[in-house]
Amino acid sequence: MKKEKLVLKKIFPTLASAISTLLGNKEILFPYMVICFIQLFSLEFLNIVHRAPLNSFFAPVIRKLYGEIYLHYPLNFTLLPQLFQYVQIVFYVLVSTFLVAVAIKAVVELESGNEKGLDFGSLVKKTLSSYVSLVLAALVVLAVILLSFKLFDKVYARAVLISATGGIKFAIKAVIIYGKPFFYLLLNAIATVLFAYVVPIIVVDKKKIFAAIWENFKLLFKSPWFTFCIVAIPYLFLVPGLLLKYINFLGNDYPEVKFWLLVIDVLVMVAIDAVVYTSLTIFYIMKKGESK
Amino acid sequence: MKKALLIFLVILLLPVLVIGVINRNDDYSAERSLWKLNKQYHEIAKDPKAAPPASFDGLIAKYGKFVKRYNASKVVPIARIYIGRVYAVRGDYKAARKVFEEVIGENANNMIMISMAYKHIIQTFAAEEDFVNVVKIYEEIKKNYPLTEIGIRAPLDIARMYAVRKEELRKTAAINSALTYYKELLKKDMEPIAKMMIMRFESECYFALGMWKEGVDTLRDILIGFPETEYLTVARARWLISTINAMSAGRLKNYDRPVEIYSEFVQKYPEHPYRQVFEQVIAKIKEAKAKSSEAAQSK
Repeated sequence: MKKEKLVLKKIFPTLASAISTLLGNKEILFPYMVICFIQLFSLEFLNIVHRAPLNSFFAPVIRKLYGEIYLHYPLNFTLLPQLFQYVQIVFYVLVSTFLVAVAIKAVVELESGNEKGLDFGSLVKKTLSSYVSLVLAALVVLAVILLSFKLFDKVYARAVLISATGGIKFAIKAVIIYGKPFFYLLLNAIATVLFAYVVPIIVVDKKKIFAAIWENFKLLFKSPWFTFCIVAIPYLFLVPGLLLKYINFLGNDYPEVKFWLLVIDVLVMVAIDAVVYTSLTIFYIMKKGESK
Repeated sequence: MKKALLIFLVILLLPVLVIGVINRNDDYSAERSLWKLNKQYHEIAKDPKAAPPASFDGLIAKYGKFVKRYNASKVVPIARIYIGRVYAVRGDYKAARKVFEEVIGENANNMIMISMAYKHIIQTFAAEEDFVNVVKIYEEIKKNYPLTEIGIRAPLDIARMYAVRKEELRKTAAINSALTYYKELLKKDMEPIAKMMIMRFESECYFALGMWKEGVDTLRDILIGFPETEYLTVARARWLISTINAMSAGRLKNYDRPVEIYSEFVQKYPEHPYRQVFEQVIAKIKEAKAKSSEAAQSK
C-alpha cells in the first residue's frame, strides 16, 4: 500500500516525462502522426463519398444500407460519425495498435541508447514479428469494450423503465440516461487500463499474447491506481468534445460542425494514446530495471 | 519529419480541393447553399412583421442568384417554391401564386414538386380566406391528376377543410361526394398502389360518416386484395391491423370481426411471411375477449 502511495506521487512527473520525451524525440512522435494522418484521411474520404467521382461506387452502397436521405446535405453528417466508427474499429485492430507498438519500440531503442535504430523503417521491421500478437491484443481489448457497452445498454434499458419522477430512483435514471456517452468513455478507459501493459510487454519482452496478458495483470495488480490515473487523466481531455457533441453544439446552424468535432476527436485521441503509452512504457521499463 | 508532415498535409488537402473544384456546382453544393438560404427564410418566417421589408427583397434576390447559378440542379424547383413562400410570408399572395404556378408548369413530370406547389397555392387562398378558390384548386387537382396521391386525396381534403372551418353540413356533403367519387374511380383500370390508396380513403369516408361496418369491410378488402409484400408493407399492415382492431372493438363492439378477417387472410395465404404476425394478433384478441367476458361475468 505504501509502495502504491509512493508510486501515485509519480503520476504527474511520469506524464510530464512522457510529454517531454515525445516532444524531444520525433522518432517516437512519427508513428502517432501516421495514425493521425490515416484516420483523418479516412474521415475526409467518408465525408466526400457522396460526391463525384466517388459516388458512382459508394452512393448505391449507402443508399441500400442506410437510405437515400443520407446522400444529401445535411443528413450526410448524421451518418458520418457512425461510418467513421466502423472504419476506426477496423483501423484500430489492424493498423493503429501496430503503429503504437512501433512508437513503443522507439522508446525502448532510445532508453537502450540505440539511436541508430530509430528510423521508421527499421522500427517497423523490428516490430513486425509481433504483428499477430498485437492484432490479437487489439481484438481482446475491443471485445472487452463491446461487452461492457452491451452490459451498460442492459442497465440503460432498465433505467428507461423507471417510472419515478423524483427521489433517488429518478436521480439514478437521470444519471444513467443523460450520462450514457460519459459512461461509454469511462468503460473505454477502464478496458484500456485492464490491458494497459499488454502492448508494451509484447514489444519490450517480445512475449506472445497470453503471456503478455498474464504479465499485464501481474503488473496491473501491483499498481492499479497509478495505471488508472495514467490512463484516466489524459482521457479527461475527451470530455469537452463529448459535451459539445452531446449538446449538438452549433449543429442546427452549421451541420459541418459534426465533421470538425470528429477531426478534433482524432487529434485529441492520438495525443492521448501517445502520452499514455509512452508513460506506461517508461513506467514498465523502470519497473523491469528495478526488478533486475 | 517536416517533409513527411508536408506530404501528409498535401495528401489531406488535395482531394478536398480537387473534389471541391470538380463539384462546385453539383447537387450537393446546391443543397448546401439552399439549406443556408432556407434557414434565413425560416428566421424571417418566425415573425414576418418584425422583419424589415428589405430582408424579404434581399432573400428573394439571393434565391434568384441561386437559381441562376445552379440552374441544372434537381433542387432548383424547391428554391423556386421558397421564393413563392417568401412572397406569401410577406403577404403578397398573388406574386406567390404566380411563382407556384410557374413551378407546376415547369415540372410536369415531378409529382413531388407539383404537390408542394399546389399545397402552397391552397395555403395562400386559405390565408386570404378565399375558400371558394381553395375548392376550385382541389377540383383542378382532381381533374388533372386523378390517379396521383394529391388527386386521390383532394376530395377528402375538401371535407377536412370544411371540418376545420366547422361547417358540418358542407363537410358531410363533401364526404358523401368523395365516397361517390371513389366508388366511380375504382371502376377504372389502374395501378394496384393507386387502387389501395383509393380504398383507404374510401374507408376514411365510411368512418367519417359513422358507417363502421362498411369501413371495416373496405379495410378487409384491402388486406385480402393486396397481400403481396410489395403493396402490403410492414407499415401498411400495422396500420390496417390497428385500424381494424380499433374500429371493430371501439365502434362495432365486435371482437369477432377482426378474428374472422385475419383468419380468412391466413387461410387464403398460408405461406405468407406475415402469417405468424396475424396468428399472434388473433391469439391476443381472443385473450382480450376472454378477459373482458370474465370481468363482465364477475360484475
